[in-house]
Amino acid sequence: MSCGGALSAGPGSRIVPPVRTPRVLLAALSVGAAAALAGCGADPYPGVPDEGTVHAVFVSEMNGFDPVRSSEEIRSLCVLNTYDALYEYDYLRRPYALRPCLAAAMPEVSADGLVWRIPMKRGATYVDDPCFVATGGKGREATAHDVVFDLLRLMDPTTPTEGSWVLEGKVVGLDAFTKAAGEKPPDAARAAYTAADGYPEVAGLRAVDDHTVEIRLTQPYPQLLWVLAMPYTSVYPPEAVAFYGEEFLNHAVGTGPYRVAQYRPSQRLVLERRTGYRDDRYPDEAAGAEPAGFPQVRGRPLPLNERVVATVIKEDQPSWLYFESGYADRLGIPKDSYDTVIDDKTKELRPKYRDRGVRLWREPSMEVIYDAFNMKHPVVGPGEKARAIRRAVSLATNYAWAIQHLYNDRVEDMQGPIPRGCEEYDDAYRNPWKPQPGETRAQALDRARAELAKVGLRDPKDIPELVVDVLDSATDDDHFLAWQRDCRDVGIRLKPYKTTWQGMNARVLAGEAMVYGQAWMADYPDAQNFLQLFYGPNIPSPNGSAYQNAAYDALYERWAFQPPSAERTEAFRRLQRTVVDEDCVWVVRYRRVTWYLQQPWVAGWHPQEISSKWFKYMHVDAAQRRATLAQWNAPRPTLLLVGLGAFLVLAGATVVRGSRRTRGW
Amino acid sequence: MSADGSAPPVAPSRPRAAVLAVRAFSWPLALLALVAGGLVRALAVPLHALRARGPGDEGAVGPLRRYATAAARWLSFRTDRFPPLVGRVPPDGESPGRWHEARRRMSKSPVALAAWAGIVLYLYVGIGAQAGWVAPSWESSQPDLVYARPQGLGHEHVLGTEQIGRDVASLALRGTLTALWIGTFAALLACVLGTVLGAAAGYFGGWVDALILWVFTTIESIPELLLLLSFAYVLRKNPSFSDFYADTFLATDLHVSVGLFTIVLALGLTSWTGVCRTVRAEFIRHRDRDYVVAAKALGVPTRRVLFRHILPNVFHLVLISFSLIFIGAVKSEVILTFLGLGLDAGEASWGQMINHAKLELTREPSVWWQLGAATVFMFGLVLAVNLFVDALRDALDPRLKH
Amino acid sequence: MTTYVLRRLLLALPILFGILTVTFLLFHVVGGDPALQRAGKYADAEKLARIRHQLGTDRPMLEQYGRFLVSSATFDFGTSWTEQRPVLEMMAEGAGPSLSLAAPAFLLEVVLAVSLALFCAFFRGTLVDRLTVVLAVAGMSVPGLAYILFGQKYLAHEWKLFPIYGFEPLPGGAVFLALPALIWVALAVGSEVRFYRAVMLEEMAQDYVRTAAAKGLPARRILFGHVLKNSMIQVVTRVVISIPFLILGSLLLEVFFGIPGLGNKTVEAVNRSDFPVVQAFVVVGSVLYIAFSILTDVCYALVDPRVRLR
Repeated sequence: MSCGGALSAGPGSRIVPPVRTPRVLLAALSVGAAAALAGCGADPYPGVPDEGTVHAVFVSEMNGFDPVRSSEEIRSLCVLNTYDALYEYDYLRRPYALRPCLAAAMPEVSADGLVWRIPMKRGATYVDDPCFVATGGKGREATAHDVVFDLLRLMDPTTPTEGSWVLEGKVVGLDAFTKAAGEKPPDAARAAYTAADGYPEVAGLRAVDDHTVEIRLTQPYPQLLWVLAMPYTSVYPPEAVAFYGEEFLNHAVGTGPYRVAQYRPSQRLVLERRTGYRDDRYPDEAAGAEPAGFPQVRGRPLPLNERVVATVIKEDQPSWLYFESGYADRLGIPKDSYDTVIDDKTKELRPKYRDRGVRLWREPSMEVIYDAFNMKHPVVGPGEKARAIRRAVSLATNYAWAIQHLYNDRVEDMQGPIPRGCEEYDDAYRNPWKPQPGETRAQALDRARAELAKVGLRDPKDIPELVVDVLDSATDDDHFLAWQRDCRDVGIRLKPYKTTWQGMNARVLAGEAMVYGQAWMADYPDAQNFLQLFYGPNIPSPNGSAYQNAAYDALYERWAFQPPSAERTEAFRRLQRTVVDEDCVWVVRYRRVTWYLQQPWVAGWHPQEISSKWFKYMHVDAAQRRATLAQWNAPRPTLLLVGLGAFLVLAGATVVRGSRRTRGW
Repeated sequence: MSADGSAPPVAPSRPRAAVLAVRAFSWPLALLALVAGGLVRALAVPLHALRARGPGDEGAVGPLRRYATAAARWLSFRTDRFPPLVGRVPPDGESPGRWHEARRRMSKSPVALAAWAGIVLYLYVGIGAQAGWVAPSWESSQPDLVYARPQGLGHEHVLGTEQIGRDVASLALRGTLTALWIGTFAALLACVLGTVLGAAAGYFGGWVDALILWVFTTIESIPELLLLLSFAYVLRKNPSFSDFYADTFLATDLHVSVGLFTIVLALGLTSWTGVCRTVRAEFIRHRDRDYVVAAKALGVPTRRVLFRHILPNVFHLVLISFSLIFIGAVKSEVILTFLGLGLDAGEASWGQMINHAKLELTREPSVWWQLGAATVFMFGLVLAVNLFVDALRDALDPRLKH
Repeated sequence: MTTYVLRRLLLALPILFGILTVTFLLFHVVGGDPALQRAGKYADAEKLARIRHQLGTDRPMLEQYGRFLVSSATFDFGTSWTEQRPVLEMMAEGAGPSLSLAAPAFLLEVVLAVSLALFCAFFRGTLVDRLTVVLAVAGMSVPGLAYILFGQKYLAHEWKLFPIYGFEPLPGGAVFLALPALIWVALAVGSEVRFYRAVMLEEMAQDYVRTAAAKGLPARRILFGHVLKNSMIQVVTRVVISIPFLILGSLLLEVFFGIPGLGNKTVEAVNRSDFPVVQAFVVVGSVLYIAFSILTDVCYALVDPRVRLR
């Protein structure tokens, strides 16, 4: 704290004799200020080599690398980039498609769709780690036995698993295993997966040999392929679990391209390129927009960088300022920085950023943001009146305004629960309870009033007040206020019930919430993942709106686990019409479109919203970055010096004048 | 220091500006100007010391000072009751006329007068807001006017609009009411609790003292923010509490929302320990004084001895604590809001406005008016109370005379 | 003195008991359900029940209370529910960053405040004095969040004087701490100046000062030799009693500047209902507070020989 000492020593020690104070004070202060300016540089990465280093920003605190717990966004990101699963998303293909990762090829599926055989790559080794006691810390090859162990651990209820739903009821003998494992005494550690205390044989899940996994299903499950690319099914050695026990969460022992060099959960993650990574190459073809520098990076061995330094920045203002100063190589535009970067008319970058060479990407997420009505709640659930209220609310909502003002165009309007990118998505489909193309807001409001009038709700006093769960945050407040205003236009009153995310979930599970907002992010790009949200047996989770309809359930069961086909598409579209056109279970809102900015020195990177496995694909030109930053970030102390000078003159003057009036003792 | 040169023109022009503003139906701005005027005065009036060159010479700032005095008197209704404090001269003659003396000294201090004027002004705004005279349409919003820039005097949106098109000036004025509610009632709760417990502990001693001492030492030992957080969290997230509250007269008659009440309760219940400690020490000091012994011997009931005889002698300390807790509460609201434990959507508070601004400052062009308005309003209130407490403390403590 | 310290330590036991009870009541009986946090996207009743069972939150309250008391008494806080790491390790990790911001900032604040207070006391009643006091009061009347937002936007980003965000261990990380420390001082120095000024004025009203002045002692000697020395007892008290709070860190500054200190971790733990972490923070914080309040009294006795501890 060189800045402080000099500053504060001034006034105290120089009181007597008072007349000489200003000059000495001035001198002391200027020395202090000079020291402060010299000492306070602005490089946020001292001590980290610049060459080949990717600078990333995480928006929330990390919490470990345990694949079975990767439902959370940031943990899934950490898992995906340090581990490998059997398959991975082809980085540049759209619509999303998979390519083999640890698997040697796509699975061989039997004609009835029940037996899957997956061959594995040879020579894919784990990162070196102390848990490999037998080899003195040298990472061994990943085998089919590891895959079986990992899937069993995923299904073991005594582990903190969050992903057991992916295989529940799908694999022969696995449910019996889960039940048996759950009856063992609770042992949070359960680290001792030695040979003696290993998992029992499960008929439907076995390693045929070291490099072939066989999975026997109880029913066809084409989504299994997607599942095998999810972070839950990442491959890791049993040794690591046995060695670290509970602490396994904080160690990444995968076959990925990096080793963890520094892990400070609330602050920073440093991943270093490791030795012995398998042969992995950048894709040769780009389906849509080419990433920057594509000709140079195509077919190059991965990873394209030496290390990744990720900084945790939870608040929007600092993370935006970070990108603007060039300390982050890539960032999704925070809501309120939109106007800074984007010209509202052209929807393109403002000249300042374009001239800098910043590149803009718009990538829609596979998700649906909606407000759900609790179909069991007397006010909004059963009956004609409730249905009219639901429809009127949906019609009264001013989607266009919210998209423009609350989301700054960072969302895209959605008509039904099936998002674009799924096989069954219907581009021509229009939600009848949203304003139609060409329909004005006034007309939509008239339609809403007509719906209410049909069931005799002409007087706003007859319409019950709706209680909406609102989360604690400034943005959620805004959304609610706007919605409240919209609904007031047709005489429907909304009342907030302020709660936390956890509190809302508890209320939904208990069936207490009346109306609540939610976003469902796809686990895999298949419409079934969305339509299950209305399936009766899925009440209360994930069917939080408690929608129950026998016809819907029957049709869903028939087609949910079938491979894509024209009939399936027709059936899924019918399901969508049932929940939207007829019952209006949700106010279907939007899906997010992330506007990514990429610095001019970045190559190879491309947004991919379904899976955040992108570290290894990013290349940075460190020399260019250094040169640019030196130009952008030269300190501008003039203003401060002027301010300081003014203060000093003032202080000096007051001291002189004040001392003249000093009284004696 | 050019302020003494520029100050005189301010004085005559200010009322005219206020009148103009009222005429233009934008008296929120007039109030703002008044507050700002109070601030300018609070900062400028000490210049008097520079300009006065001898006894009887008021210097250039003299008229200003007279104006401030007059304004303060007018605002406090009764010239002989400034500041309008309660308290009786105690019979033991320890500090005869302490309040009288303090009042005399404070009415001579321009800073105290300005601070007092500021506080009264805020009170007026608060009362007006509660009655619906000030910022009556604060809830209404204009979807087509989002983030409108401040339009200045005489326009509809003097301080611009915020993210969903509500008027920032109205929100800030309405926020005054919220701040006053929070500050006043949290401080009142803390002071009543602290005084009663402190008095009991100090006067009775013995096991009563031990018990109360234990309770407040315990509360005091828990890191304050953690305690506040947990209180607010627990009250806020407990549905049975909200249900219980919905039926009380506060909710049904005064329309105090459960969020506001929770904050008041949490702040009040965590900040009474300081008062308790002070009052207890004073009561221990006083309980064996002659006047207390005499009162007891005359058969005066204990309650009367406690609250009619001893309390007035320590009341100034309670009053100072009250002001400090008031300030703390107003400031804490921002932090509670930041942590998601603030008021409900659709209520107006400075904390919400400031918290929202963490997203707005980096916009282009920067949206500073919401943060600015809330900060200035809050600054004014906290500063006024702070300066007032200072003056009060100085005035009540004769040892600090120089 | 030993007897005194022992007695105080004994007296601390019931207080600790009270603290533990309050903590337990607040978080266990009426707090959030940690199982929901862990169940994730596909929560169902069975899964929730299992997690509650694993965490032990489905046991009878009294049993949980008993376990809680025992674990607190032995400083065995177990592992964090969200991070699966020993809680004490997390605390130790957070204390460093918190202190590396708080200690220098606090030192700066005290030195600055005492100097300004001396300055004010010397020029008491003049314009300089009043201006300083009014400025100090004005400085503390601005909401903290406003300081942070403006500081980050203008001092760090527009004028590039400081890093915007981040943390590195000292001494290399001093640049990161400069801005938060500056904001800390701006926020805190006002009340401190006021306090110390009052202390010094009180000291200067003492008879011995007048005597010294009458004897013709130079002002410097009076101020530094007597007034400052005798005010030191108050300074020391205030400093020592602040230390536990320094360790616990400053919440807003830590969150906004990405300092991985205890304030930051506390908020995170409360948000995630990570009970072992919150428990440890409250217990350790309170123990520190009690310990340092005893230490304060000892300091009294050491600084001022007139004070006797019994």
